[in-house]
Amino acid sequence: MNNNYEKKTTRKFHVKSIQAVITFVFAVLIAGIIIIVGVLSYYTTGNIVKDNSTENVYQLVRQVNYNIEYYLGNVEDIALSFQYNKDIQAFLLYDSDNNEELAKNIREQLNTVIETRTDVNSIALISDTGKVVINNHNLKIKDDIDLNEQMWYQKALSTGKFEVSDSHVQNLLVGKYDWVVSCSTVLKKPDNQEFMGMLLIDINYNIIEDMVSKIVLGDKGYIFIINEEGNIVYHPKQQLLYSNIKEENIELILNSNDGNVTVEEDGLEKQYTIATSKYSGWRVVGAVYIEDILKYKPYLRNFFVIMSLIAVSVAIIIAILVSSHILSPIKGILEGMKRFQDGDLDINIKIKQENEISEIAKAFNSMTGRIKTLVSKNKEIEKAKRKSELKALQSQINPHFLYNTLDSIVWMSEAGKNNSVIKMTSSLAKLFRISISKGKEFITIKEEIEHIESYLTIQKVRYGDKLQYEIIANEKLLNYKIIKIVIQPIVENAIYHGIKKLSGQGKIKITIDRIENRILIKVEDNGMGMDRETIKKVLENKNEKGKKLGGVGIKNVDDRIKLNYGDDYGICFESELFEGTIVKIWLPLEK
Amino acid sequence: MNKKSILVILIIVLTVITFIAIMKTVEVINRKEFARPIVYVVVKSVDPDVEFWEVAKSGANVAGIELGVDVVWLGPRAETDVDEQINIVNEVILKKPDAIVLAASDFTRLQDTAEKIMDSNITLVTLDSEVQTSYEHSFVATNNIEAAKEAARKMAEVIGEEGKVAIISHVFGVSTAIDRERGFREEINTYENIQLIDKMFYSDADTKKSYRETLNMLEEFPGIKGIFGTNETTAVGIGRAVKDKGLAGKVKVIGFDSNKELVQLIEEGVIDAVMIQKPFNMGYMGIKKAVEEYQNDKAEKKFIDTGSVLITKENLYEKENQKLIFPFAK
Repeated sequence: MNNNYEKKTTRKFHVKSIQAVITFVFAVLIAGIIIIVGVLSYYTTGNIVKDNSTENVYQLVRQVNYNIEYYLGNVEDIALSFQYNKDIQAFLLYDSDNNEELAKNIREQLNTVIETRTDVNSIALISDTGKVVINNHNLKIKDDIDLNEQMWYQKALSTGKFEVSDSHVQNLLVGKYDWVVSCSTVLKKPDNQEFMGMLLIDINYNIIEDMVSKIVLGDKGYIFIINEEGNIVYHPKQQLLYSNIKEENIELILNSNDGNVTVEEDGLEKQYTIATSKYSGWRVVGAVYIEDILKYKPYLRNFFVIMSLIAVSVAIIIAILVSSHILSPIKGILEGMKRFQDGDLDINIKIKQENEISEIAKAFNSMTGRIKTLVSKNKEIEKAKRKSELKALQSQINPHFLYNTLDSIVWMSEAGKNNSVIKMTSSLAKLFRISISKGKEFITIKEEIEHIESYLTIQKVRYGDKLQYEIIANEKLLNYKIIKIVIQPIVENAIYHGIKKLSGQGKIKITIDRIENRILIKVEDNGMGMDRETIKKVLENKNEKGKKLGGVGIKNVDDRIKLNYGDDYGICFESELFEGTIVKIWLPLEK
Repeated sequence: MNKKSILVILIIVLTVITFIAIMKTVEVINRKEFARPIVYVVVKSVDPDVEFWEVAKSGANVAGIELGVDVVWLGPRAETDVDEQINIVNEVILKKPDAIVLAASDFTRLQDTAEKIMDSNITLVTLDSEVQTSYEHSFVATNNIEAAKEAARKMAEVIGEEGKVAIISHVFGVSTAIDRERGFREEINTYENIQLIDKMFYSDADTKKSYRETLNMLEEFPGIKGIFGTNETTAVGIGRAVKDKGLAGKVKVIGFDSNKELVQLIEEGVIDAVMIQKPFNMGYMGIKKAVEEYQNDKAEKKFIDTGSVLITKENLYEKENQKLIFPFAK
């Protein structure tokens, strides 16, 4: 019982596990594909966006650089316009009497140039002797200042070109502390190109700052400018840099070409985009935090995660549907098999759809059908067997035979033939004992021989010398088993049909031998013999006098042999009228 | 359980998952786009002429951009308007911001207000001027005691380590004034031959009053060799008075903080040195500390020294100092 239960659960589990496997594989497959596609597109999009925005930043930085260059070029043009100014030449080259007048003229000219411009803070003309003219007469040079020591002065003097300083507070003028970018250029003598004087144009630093400070790169990105020495021209966090709260990798920028370099700052990736002005030597640097560029990434990632979740759920549903669709007919088959196993032979699995599984169901259905017919056939055989066996047994208690035998015993005892009575009685007892054989179906050949001997002993008493018999059996076969009461009906038949009517001595010869793999029991008599008609009747179990003799008959033996061993075995007759009959009983060789 | 009910359950689960996912995304977007953290900064003065706070504001804005927070800059117009500052802070508390950065106009009078901020579970960082409270909080400021000690050492140096010196303080009761007085006093007392005048002078952060007080002092204590002015306006008043009295170079002046006039007075030799603070860094660090604390409860509450520099005629135009002395282009 317990074992049975286990079997059932195991089977159920298997079906479920197939479904689980299909569902799992399906879900993993879809989820896997989506995750791979998602991850790939996530990174691809990430890189594309990164490249795009890097490119944008580069364009922007270059644009800023261009604007600055253009602007400084414009300032240089102003400077150059004074190079060939006659008044300026006169003022610088000749120490004439009307110097005051000249200075006033120059001041006015300088002022005219920048009057309308808010971007230029001041213009100053400085002679080699230290005379200074500034565009505004209110502006005074500090007394203690040494112009030759000023950075912008030295720079222009050493290169002889138009020079741009970094941003600084101009400390030249009394009471003025303006942030400027100083542009200085050397004015040369028209004849020999020698140093004549210096022109200083101070640009309002606001101009530079305005060009850069309002540009926003992402959330946190910014633009800054350094000059070729690495000094800061503009930086939104300049004070933090000087206080070492923030750091900018100036050295790296100076050593890098235009383009991008990446550095790390407080664990964040920061990208510098550099554009160098060949004109001023300034480097415009865009600083962008990669995190900023990729700030959409969490959204994208969430999107992909959501899509994956939905896809996996859909995949699981589809997988369950598909697997149950595939497995439901299998479940039907299993259900059918189980019921069949439990003994329901009428089971017929319903087929809903034609496919491979329905083929299995069909095969199962036809198999059960066949089994059902076989079983019923088998039942019938069993029934027939019982019936014929019963008949065979009944025949042994044939009242006629018993009456004759008992009559003989009475007669013999009256005649005082004690030995014969003993022999007769013991033979009769043996005959019945073997016939019944404790209800066994099969007995050994040895027992069968004893049985027939008992029978012949009894008949011998009745028939006396008219009946002669001989039994020859292969010793080796004595322990082989055959169905019981096979020989006796044949012998009975031989006596009643062959020998009884015979005027002379009747002889019965029984031989038991092995022919190949079969047992052959031959019963020969020298009786009247039988014509075909009689043989047929005998085989059909019809005596010419009906069933009065009550013998179980040849037919019963043949039937029993065939029921037990199949159609390959049985009885056959060879008979010649007035010559005798040979009955051959074929049986299988079985221990 | 039949197939249909499984299907129904799965569809419900799926819907729930999708719903949760969408809610989550919306939440993330909200947090990122519409709910940027807000840090309120209440300073002593929002007068655009008070350069110190304007510079601090630009530092705070830089930090705001860098950290992705909104910085709201508030305060009374006049530095002495303590009541107005208390009112402003109270209004800010009602808005339940993530953090408040406070530069207290008065060391004691803002105690209740400051404690109310922290009682409302709002992060408080004090900036520049401390408030009196036993509550633990961070304080971002110049180390005024140390800065004043350095000023005292400079004073000792310029007066030749002997003679009488005096302090004119800006506002009575303000923590910066208290600390600067204390630092200067402690350090100057280590010089045997220097005597610090006992009498305290207050300018009330007013140039004119400082000027008058200086004149009074010079009259009351002739032969004084050095005066330390504890803030910008005070130092200007002292400088003007000394200059007008023709005592430039004879009476040494050391100030605290700077402006254009002070720079000119330094260049003229009237004022010998000023201690300058780093308001840009102060604004920046104040916001940064506030954000750090409200984002992380376990962040250490501490004093952050934003640093100071002694400026003399010699280092006035050094690259690193230009931005400190002249923070704006115009």
